[in-house]
Amino acid sequence: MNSTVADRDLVSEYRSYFARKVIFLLAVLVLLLALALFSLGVGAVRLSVGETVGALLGADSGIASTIIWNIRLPRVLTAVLVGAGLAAAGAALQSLLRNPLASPYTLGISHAAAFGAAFSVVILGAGSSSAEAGGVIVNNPYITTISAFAWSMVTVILIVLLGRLKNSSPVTLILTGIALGSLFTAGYTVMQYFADQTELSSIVFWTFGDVGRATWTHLALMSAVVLPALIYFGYNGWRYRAMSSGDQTAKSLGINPGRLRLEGTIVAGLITSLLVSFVGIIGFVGLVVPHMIRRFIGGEERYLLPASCLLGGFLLLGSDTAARTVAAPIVLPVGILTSFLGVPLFIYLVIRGKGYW
Amino acid sequence: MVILKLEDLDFSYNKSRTLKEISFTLEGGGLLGIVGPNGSGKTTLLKCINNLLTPDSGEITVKGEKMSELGGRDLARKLGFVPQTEEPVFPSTVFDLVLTGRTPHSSWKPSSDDLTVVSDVLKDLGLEELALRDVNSLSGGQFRKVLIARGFAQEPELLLLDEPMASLDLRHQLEVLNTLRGWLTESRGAAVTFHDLNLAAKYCDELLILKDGEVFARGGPEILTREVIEPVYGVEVEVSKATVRPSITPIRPLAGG
Repeated sequence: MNSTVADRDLVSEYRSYFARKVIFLLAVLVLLLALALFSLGVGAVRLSVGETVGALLGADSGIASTIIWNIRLPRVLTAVLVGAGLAAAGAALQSLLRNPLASPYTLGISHAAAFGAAFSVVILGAGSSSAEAGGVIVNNPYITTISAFAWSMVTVILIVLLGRLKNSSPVTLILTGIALGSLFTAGYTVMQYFADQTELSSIVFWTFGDVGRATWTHLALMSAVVLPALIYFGYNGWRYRAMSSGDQTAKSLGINPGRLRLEGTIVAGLITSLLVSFVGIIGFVGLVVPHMIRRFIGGEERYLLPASCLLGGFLLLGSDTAARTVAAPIVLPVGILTSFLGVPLFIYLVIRGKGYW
Repeated sequence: MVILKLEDLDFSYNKSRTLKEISFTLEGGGLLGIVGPNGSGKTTLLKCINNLLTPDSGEITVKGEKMSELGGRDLARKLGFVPQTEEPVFPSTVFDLVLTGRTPHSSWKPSSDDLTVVSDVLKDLGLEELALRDVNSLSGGQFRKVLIARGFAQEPELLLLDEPMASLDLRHQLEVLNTLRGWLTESRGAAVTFHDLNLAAKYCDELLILKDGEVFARGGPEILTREVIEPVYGVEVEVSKATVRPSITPIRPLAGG
């Protein structure tokens, strides 16, 4: 039309637009590190930043070192890993299923995990509680974890098999997930009905998601699955962008949407199953975080996925730190806090949401 | 050079034959217009060519390669498809949406060449002002142009466009068709479905007139005569032939049509 328009350098405009996203990512990363440092310092024994850093670097071998290395560091790292994993699973599922309501919850995975935990307590006899301190002891935590994981994976496999009947269309996968979620909720209720008081408290206790349960071994097991899964999502992020234009367009761009969706659902299901099995149910992180990212910095999947990881880790660590300190000396399970925080956050996003849904 | 060749293509939806024995060839640099009333099989034909639907029988070759033997990225580098419409679920900038057209050319992330291609396409289509706008905030016509831009960015050898003129105003229609003509080279071709016979007559080199899934007539724009249009569309028309390219004025529906 005119020469000034023709001379515009769209490539560098786009690059600087993209750079702003990267700066946002770096800012969240810095905040996450700062929060982690703060979180390591707070608790029953307050440690200064200097003491915390000293203990981390091994300069101190006294009480501070024991607290940091045995109690707080695994807890902090678990919170970050779980938050990142659930948020990435949610972001990937939303893009793959082209549905803003998709999350690890939508596929019924968490319900199946809760059923699996109840199943292990009631049928496999894994739980009992001790009267002292009103605490609950799960005799063999690994049986509960394995049962929760096994039942979640049964759900994932059923969704995938049923999805294949209809070429893995988004609607099939979501409806199957919702149906299976209801089924396992019913099964969970049956287990509770037949549980005695001790078992009942074990079951209920398990469903309160709590990152404080994880040990270094748990953390290693979770990382071994979650980190490769995050790399997988990162690698496929750009293809997810093409898929969010619909299956027909994805095919004409040389992508096999059915296969990618199936793979992505399995990977997201695997992460969720594993995390939920170890730490219990932590709601809303997987649903809310990707929407916050879309609201703040836009929806392009190449940064949506890493950004969701960082913000998910940040939010869950923040929530857990708050849960540890807000009613001190009582330590609240973080799952309760995320549900309380998640609802108003979600409603806010829905009401302020313009442009989509 | 022959870009596209169809031989005896048959296709049926649930046993009712939608396309019957379709054959034609398109030469390099050519713009093929596919016209016909609603339900005559125009979109189905495009989807068969692009392997989105699998024909019952017949052969489709693009530059001598059989489409039935190509898949995924190889196919996507040869053939681009611009759908009638699309519903974006999540926000995305125009630039990012057009950039997905580069998917078959890149691995896991776009290269700087890809960014340059997208930038050039956006300029050609006059979309530079919108480059960083959210696609959900565009008007229907602007969004159509964005979809067309993605098709150009894909740089296929044959670009298929399904009703690209729908919901574009007069100016945008002419701009898009002029850009499409400028995009064509000896080694490229385009097949476009049209409702507007005048635009088809003005811009196409070849016309394929479909009626009930069959080729009713085929040839240059001069085949758009009263004798062809009236039985195909069931409409009385006046055709003026001041130039080689006729112009058509619809008068009234024919009785019983």
